[in-house]
Amino acid sequence: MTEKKSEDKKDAPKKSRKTPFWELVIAAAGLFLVVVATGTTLYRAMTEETTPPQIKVSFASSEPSGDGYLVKFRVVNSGNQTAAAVTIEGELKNGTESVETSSATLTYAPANSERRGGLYFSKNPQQFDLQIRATGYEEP
Amino acid sequence: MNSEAKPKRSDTKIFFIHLARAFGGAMLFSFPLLMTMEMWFLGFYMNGWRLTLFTLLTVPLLIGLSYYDGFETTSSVWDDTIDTFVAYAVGFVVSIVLLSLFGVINLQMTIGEIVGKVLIQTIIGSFGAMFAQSLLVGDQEESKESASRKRQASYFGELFLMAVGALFLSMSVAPTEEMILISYRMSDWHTLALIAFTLLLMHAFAYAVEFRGHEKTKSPDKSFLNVFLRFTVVGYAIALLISFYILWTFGSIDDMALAEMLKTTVVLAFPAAIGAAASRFIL
Repeated sequence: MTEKKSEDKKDAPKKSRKTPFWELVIAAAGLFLVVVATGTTLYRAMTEETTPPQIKVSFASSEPSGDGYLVKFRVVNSGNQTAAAVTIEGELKNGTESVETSSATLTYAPANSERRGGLYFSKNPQQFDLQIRATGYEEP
Repeated sequence: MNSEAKPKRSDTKIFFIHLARAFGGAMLFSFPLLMTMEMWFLGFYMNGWRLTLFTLLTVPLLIGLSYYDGFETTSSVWDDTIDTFVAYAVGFVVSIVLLSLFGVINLQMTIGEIVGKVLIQTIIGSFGAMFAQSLLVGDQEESKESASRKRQASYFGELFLMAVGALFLSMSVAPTEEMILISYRMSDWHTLALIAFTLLLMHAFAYAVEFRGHEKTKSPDKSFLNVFLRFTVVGYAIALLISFYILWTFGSIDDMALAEMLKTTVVLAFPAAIGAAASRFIL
């Protein structure tokens, strides 16, 4: 009895535990993730040329809001560098004469991504010529 | 015969208990960074090479950590490796679930942005999963065994644990704007004072650990100088190196003058040093 007990004790830590099936499955998923994660980031790092932020602002919609009007816009940065503190300016024009300007700041316009925002005007943008553009950014 | 079939099933059951514990650890440790906006932004502007290097370095670190202190008691490098990838998978799931719940990632974003945000958080989550053992202690038997393993840690083993502690604690504040801001506020005298204070703090920890008998082969010489040189100074050097590496990885000190870089590193080395010193207690 006592002999067997001590044998068991000695045996237990030595014997390599058989890895449960599900542990292997989850570990394989983890390995897959590591490989894919490093693979894709490495691939992107190697192939991407660093192009400066290329920001294009486009009009999305306009609607009455509060005392005035809201113009929603979409900002697409097709460069592969992120721009921070992007200032967006919208101008209502009547011919060549500027009627009203509004501005907004986006915290970030990430590389190859899209962000949305809005500008408020007191005059109805539909009665004028609306121009929206990015005026500047900061490197993050 | 009967007893052969049984352990198999209970092994699986035990694994799922450990897995649940790993999820708990991952959430407990990664939520502060999952809720830090600088981390989300890093996801899309972080340098790809550095993220790759960081991910690849995580693997051996986790294997080493698993040896000393994983969510399961392991018996071989193979086991440690498996646990490492399980921890990574757990970190990944936790990041994806929580970032989705917080609305930080959604399907309108490009794949690149989502992947970037998740991958950087996965690293922290996987460390948390691995730390689960020491924080959410379950089995008495197990904690005893890994505790004894830690007690048997060689000098280099101790340094390894210090590095992991430094990495982990500094990582949770490193991406924030405040690291840079604090360094801007500090004069050179402040910097010197912070170095001295950090060393003092580390020494107090090292001294306390020394008398707790963390190391198996206790050196008979516990003189001030001995402990100071073997643990405090080396530990602080590790904290500085880890801080510099983390700041570089996150791109926080790019294009800074050398003096400013050093100052920011000293600032981050403060939490890193606490992590390094405390790791010999906690881990």
